[in-house]
Amino acid sequence: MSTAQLLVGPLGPFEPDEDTHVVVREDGRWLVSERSTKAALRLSDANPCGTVAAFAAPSGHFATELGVEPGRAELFSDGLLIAGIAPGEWLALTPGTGAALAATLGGLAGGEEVVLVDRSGGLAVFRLTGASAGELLAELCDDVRSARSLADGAVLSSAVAGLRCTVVRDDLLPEELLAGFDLGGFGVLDLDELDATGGPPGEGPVDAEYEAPLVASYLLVCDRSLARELHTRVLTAGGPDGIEAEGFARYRSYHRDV
Amino acid sequence: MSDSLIGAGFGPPPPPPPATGSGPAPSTGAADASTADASTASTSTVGGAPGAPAAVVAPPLATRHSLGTAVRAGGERLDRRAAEVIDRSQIIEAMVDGQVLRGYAGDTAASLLGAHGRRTFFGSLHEQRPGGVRTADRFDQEAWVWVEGIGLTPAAAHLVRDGERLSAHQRRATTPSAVTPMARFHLAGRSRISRLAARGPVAPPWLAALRRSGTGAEQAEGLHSRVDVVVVGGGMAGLCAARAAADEGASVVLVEADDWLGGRLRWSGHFDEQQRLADIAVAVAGHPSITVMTSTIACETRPDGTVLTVERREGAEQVAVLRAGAVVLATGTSDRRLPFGGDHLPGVMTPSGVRRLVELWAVRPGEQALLCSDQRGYLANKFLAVQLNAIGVDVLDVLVLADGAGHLEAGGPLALEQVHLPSGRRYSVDLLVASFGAQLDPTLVNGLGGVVTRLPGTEQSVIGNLPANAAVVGDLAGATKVEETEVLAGAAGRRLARLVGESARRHRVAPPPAPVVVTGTEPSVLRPVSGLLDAALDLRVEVLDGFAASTAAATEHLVHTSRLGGLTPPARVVLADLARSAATSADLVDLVLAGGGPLGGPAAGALALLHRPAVRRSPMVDLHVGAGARFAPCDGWLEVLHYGDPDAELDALRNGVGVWDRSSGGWFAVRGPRAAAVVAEVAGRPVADDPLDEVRDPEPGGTRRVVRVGPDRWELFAALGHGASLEAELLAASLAVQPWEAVVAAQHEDSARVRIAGPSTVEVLETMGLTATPGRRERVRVGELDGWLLGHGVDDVELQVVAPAGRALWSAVLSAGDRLAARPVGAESFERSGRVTA
Repeated sequence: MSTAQLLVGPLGPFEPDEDTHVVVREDGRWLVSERSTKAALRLSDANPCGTVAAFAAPSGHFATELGVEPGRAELFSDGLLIAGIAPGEWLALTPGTGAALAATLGGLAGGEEVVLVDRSGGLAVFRLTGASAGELLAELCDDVRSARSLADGAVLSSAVAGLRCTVVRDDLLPEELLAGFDLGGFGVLDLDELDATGGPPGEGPVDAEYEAPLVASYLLVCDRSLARELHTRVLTAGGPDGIEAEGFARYRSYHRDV
Repeated sequence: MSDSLIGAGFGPPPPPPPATGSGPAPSTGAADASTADASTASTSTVGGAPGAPAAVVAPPLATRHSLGTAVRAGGERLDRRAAEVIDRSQIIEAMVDGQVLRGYAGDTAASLLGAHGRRTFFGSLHEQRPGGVRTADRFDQEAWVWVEGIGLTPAAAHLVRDGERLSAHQRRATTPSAVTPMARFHLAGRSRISRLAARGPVAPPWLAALRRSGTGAEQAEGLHSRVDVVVVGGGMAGLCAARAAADEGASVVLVEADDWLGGRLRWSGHFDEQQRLADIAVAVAGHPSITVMTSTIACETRPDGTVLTVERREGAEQVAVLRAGAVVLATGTSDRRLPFGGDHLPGVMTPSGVRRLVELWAVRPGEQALLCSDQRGYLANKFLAVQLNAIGVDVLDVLVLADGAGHLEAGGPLALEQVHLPSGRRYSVDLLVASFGAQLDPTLVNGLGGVVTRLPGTEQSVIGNLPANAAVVGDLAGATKVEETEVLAGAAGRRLARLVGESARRHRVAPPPAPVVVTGTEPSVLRPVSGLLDAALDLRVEVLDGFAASTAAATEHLVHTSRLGGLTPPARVVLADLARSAATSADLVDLVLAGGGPLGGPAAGALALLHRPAVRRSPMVDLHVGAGARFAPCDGWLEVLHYGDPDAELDALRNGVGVWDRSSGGWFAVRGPRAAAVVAEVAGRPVADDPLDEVRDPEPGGTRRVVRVGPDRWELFAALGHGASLEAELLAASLAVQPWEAVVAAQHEDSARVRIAGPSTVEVLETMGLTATPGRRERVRVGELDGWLLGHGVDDVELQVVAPAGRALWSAVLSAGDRLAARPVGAESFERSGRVTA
């Protein structure tokens, strides 16, 4: 396999490693690790994505069209995740390319001045998943006081393990519920499709808040070159909890209709 | 003195409440007529099955104004409350936004306006959003009023004077002095941010204030006051400790933030407890060895027993430095606030805030209410629901949120109008009482050397490591019963008094003079402490807390903070001035941390964490490590110095071709409708008409280059080691405009840049199918990669691709230059080659 023209995340894998038996595969144009784990607490590579930062007037047309409040994140049907970082500032992550996403977002401007900066590759994205992920995050981040501090879909800018991060709670459906559903998105679950094909019993958008058996999951976004440090620090802190690292996995998630 | 300290409504005691058990405050008057079960009075739900979206609608407003209230001279007030602090015999008038409002002596701006139905106040300066009363105490930073002669001041902390002119409309501050010093001390002493300041080597802001003042207490003789024991907090615990210490012969100073004594128990205790409290308060106020300082906030403590206080009356402030032999902290706890959507809206209050408004000022906080809490707060909320019902507030529901507050969504254009639950249920309310336990402020504990530790998995904290001459009592120490508080606080007071007495005998120290002499300073003395400390107005602590990255990110962080509404306009101006005067953002950080400038307090506390820098790395760093590179930190980045043979690398640059990883810093994009102005300020010349994609030097041989890459879009490149200074200048320039009008993006994280230089550069490019034009920036394709080619010169080019493709680019360039003996070079040889490194 030629790896010359493939995109590589901040953690690699840089090439197949015979010593560690890390299997490498191509996912789109990205070179990703096949490393997987069944650990209850895991730190996954979520880097293969496009990221765009958007800036506009906090209460202008673009903000209204986007409909994402500061401190909240929304998932859209095509896997696009938009996080409200601050009034007038958003960060969008997409399974596609940043350029395409910037063009899409630019279409929402409606004549208003909107600044879009393609930051694809400039940010590192990890996913911390597991029932005890909240506790670990609370240990690493002063602003997360307990596992319940951040609701699903909440966005927080703070320091995680001493490194500046944007944290997005983005809960997952348990994997067993996803067997046979290849949605191909960055992490979106089409509940209608699940229902139509015999998905999770009793599941539905209404009142999913209390019934959906979700697994706590957090996206951690930091500057690319700090990724290794963040990765190491989270793994070190989570060692007593049995945390394990894994490669890129297309988890499915959705934000409940809060 | 005693009467004023104890407060107008503190006696005679009210009749005992009809209910028994551990419930708090008694109701009086017409309120007693309604003691219905909260469950019967609390909810009226219209809608379908549980969980389905449903609107809970209260009866029309017109039907709900009669119970227990009456429109009186002082606005719409509840019947006389047992603990109220207003004097209904003295009517005052204030001009509020051109309208004459009548109130009572003892009214704060918050209660006066609340009694006249005003819920929105001056809120965020930056976001121009309204604010509302949240905790209704002196630390309430959510609602502000503009007072003639004083400036912006917290509405709940300002006692309205007869004939005063106020404004609660949104208005921008025009000068740094528009914010009162007390506003700063509030946060300096109480904010969560100042806890960070205690960790780092940061001079506390009040100290900076004193240093700057010509009559600072640190410089003048006789201004320090010696005292045996300082008790901070005038609630039951503080009163008991003070009396016990004084009874042991110690001279005591009692510091209380409110204008009266009693603390929370004043309005939330049993009848017999309140009676005891009144007795103790009278005893303390009249005790010859106790000096009571009300309306005074303890801002700072030190391990040696120093306590700095700020007293504020009628807009004037006095600073006192108390040298105490022992310190008792009895500050109690405050309602924990958890963030949720719309939590800033007027109408969102804490339980204590509601009770204070009701019991101290007889003001009904809303018409329709929703009460939310965690599991532990449910019973208290049910009781509060009964109390609110009794004063005519329709409590639509009392909810337990098992998953925390984050699922709540409060909405309304100017003030709270609706609350959405995750289930889809919707409530139309104008009062949301969010109760999520209590929290303690560790600032004063930390100042004494103590440590506050949160118990894992709980919301409880324990205090440890306190010195022998200090004690924490009351709620702060976890006491839950009044009797327990009395006993333990009294014991602590006696212990410390004896300790101080023994110490004085041992060291033969002369007894401290009494009474206390307070250092007086005018507010104007403190005004120079401005700048970022003013940002405390609407600072989002979530963002400042725990920030850490690198020194180069300091300015970026500050600007980021401003985007969140953390910086007031004057603070932005101050920051801009400082950023301009600092050569690099690292200098800016040093300037802040040194306390030499007007930046301080919260910002300094946050920046203190910058001393844990994380060095940034190129995406090709592993390749360099594999090639035996030597690294050195530069501009916060790990820069390749050389690969073991700098002379050979220099030779390659002069006679062959050298390949330098230039990914480390120094590349910025400026975009937006006002980008031209920002770039022009940095470049020192107009740039709006620059030809597209032409690389320009602002100055010959300078350290930066500018390229206009599109309408309202520029890119700037800094020479090696000059990235931080360019960044600081850019961000300082951008502070003059709105954040979205000129976005400065440090894009060095986004890209991998490879510099190719030497006589054989053209051949290497030809091998790759590329041609460069000196002085131009062109889009190119390297294999399957899209990128840009920058022509620095005839034999000096730079290829640029997205960071994840950096390794592929590096390999491709070295591969193309293989037959030309291309070799990787480091910064050392590149600089020695005499080329411009921008």
